[in-house]
Amino acid sequence: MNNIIICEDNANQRKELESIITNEIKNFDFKIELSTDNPHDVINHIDNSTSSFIYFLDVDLNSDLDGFQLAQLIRTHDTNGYIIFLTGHAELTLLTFQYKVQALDYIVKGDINLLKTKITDCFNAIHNSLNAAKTKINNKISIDVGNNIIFLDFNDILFFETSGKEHKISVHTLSGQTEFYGTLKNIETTVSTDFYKIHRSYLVNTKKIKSIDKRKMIIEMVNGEMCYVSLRYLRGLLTKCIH
Amino acid sequence: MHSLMLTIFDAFFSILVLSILVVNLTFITTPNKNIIIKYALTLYIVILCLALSNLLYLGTVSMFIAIFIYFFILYKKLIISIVLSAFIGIFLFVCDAVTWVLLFHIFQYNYLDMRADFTLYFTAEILMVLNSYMISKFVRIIILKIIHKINKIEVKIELPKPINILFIISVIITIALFSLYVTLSRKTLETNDSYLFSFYAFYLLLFFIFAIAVIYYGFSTLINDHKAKEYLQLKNYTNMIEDMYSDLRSFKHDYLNILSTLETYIKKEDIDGLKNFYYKDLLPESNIIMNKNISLSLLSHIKMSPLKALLSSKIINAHSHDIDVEIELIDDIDEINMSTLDICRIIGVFMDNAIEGSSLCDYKSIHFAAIETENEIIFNIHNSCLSSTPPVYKIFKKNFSTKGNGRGIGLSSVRNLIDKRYKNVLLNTKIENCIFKQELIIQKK
Repeated sequence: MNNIIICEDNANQRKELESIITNEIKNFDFKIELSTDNPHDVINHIDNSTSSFIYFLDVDLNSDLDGFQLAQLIRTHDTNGYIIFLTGHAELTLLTFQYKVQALDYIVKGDINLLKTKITDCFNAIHNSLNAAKTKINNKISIDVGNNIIFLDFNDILFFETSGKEHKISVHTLSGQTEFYGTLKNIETTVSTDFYKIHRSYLVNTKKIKSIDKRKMIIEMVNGEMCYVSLRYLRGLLTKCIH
Repeated sequence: MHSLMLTIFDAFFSILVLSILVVNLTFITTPNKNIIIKYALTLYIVILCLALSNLLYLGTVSMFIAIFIYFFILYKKLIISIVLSAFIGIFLFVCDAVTWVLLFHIFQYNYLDMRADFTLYFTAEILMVLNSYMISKFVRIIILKIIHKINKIEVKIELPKPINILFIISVIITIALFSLYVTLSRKTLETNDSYLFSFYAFYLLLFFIFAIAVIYYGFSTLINDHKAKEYLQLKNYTNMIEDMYSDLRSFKHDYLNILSTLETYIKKEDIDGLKNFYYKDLLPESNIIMNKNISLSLLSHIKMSPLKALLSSKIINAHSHDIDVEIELIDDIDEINMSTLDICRIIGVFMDNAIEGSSLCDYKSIHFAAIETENEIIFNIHNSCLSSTPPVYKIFKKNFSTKGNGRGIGLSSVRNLIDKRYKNVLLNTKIENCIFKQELIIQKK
């Protein structure tokens, strides 16, 4: 269960936000634990607590700390919490906040309906991510991409490929490709049994294979992408796919 | 019979040495081993035929011609092939010289003894192969080091025009000297060793002159090219600033007009007219102005002028295509662990693709962000794209483009560039909900 912390300096807007949130969390297992205008209260509160929270932070706080600095402090205590920023002006900083403090979302205040839908979206996203974390061991792989850790569902992955010589691995999914540092050997031990090493530099999801060309030693994935099979692993791959 | 065997060996080893040199001293592209083997074989046969008919000096000339043809096929450029084949030819002398100096002056062998003793001659030839391999490898490493120092620029040797004639003349001299050497040395070797020594010293000198010339002219043109490019970008940037200034002046002018219009409405106390003017004319216009100016002024966070110039010109280009450009820049980006030219090339390709991709859509938008975190600098470019955009792996294929041939070289060359040179750079590409996302993560040192 994750509790909610709100930090907003404008009393009216805080009231409004509280009412929206209480309305929205009926469907979820969350509750408001703290609502304040002082960022130091937030720090004190999480200092004395070990659990992680969902934070709604205003960017301008009328204090010696602004929302972004507060978020950075929060991250030193609570690495798993979810941070959502609220702001009055539309200067765009979503990606910056995502990369620096792993912010979940960035909501521009003003339009109350938009605020509502955005908050609902956030709760849905948090709910899904909490569920995913529970089942993580079974069907997800976590990879470090830059500052962030992203989780990939095994069912979305087509194959892993070594790229270049520098321990770079490129993971190909239906939507694109992502690179990270690692070795195929380590990945082999963490993925499910559906994955099979077909070549020195390929580890494929056997469920996503469309066809195998035994003569040319090439396999085609469901999206049309091609991988090479080496003779050594071809027989094993065939028995694996037939069973 | 004995001398025939020696001739066969001689020809075989000189071809071998030549192939080693060609492989080790080609920098511009990777040497094509198939062609080399084909040439080596034909050469071997040609030289054998010539040797058997006592015309060996023609064989040595044909060696140069063969290397020249090989380079010409590879590079399709006359001057480069001439210079490189001459360079390799002289290199061959040097290797030859080093080996024989070693044998004659350090081990005190005599040429006649060597020719008489088959095994000794054979070892000498093998020594020659080893020598040429080591020396050429060494020179290769040195030259590659120099290339790396010059800001990791892609090597492309192009010589300035007036030097051409000089080089052609020196090549002719080289070939003439080599033929002379082969015919003369057989006689002089047997009589006078010190004469031979000065002969080699002369070759060594010639070699160094050539090596310095190749390096100097090759790289000075490279650096000039690079500087010219940077200068051009800087010029574009200055032009852009001038444009902005003239924009500002016209804005001042407009502003005064607007004030006087407002004044007339106020004087007439025509509140409906004022409302109409404000909502219909003033507000939409001011939104356009605000958006445009905010995005460009944010670029001042980028402290690398070439990159700033590139981005500003791309953004202006995007504006002219009616694309909504959002820029997210909070941190100062002043140093990137990559060569300036390469980061500009990569960002340029990404921006071009983003402009091309989003201009096909109804909702044209590009979101550019540069973020500095503790350990890395991240460039993020998102653009709207059609739902019919092909999958990412196809876009990365060579020569792929949605707009016919020749335009899709960009992304595949970016991929190659990163794989080859930068182990500290990660490139992630995704298409999600009709948004094409490029993420470039550059690790700091």
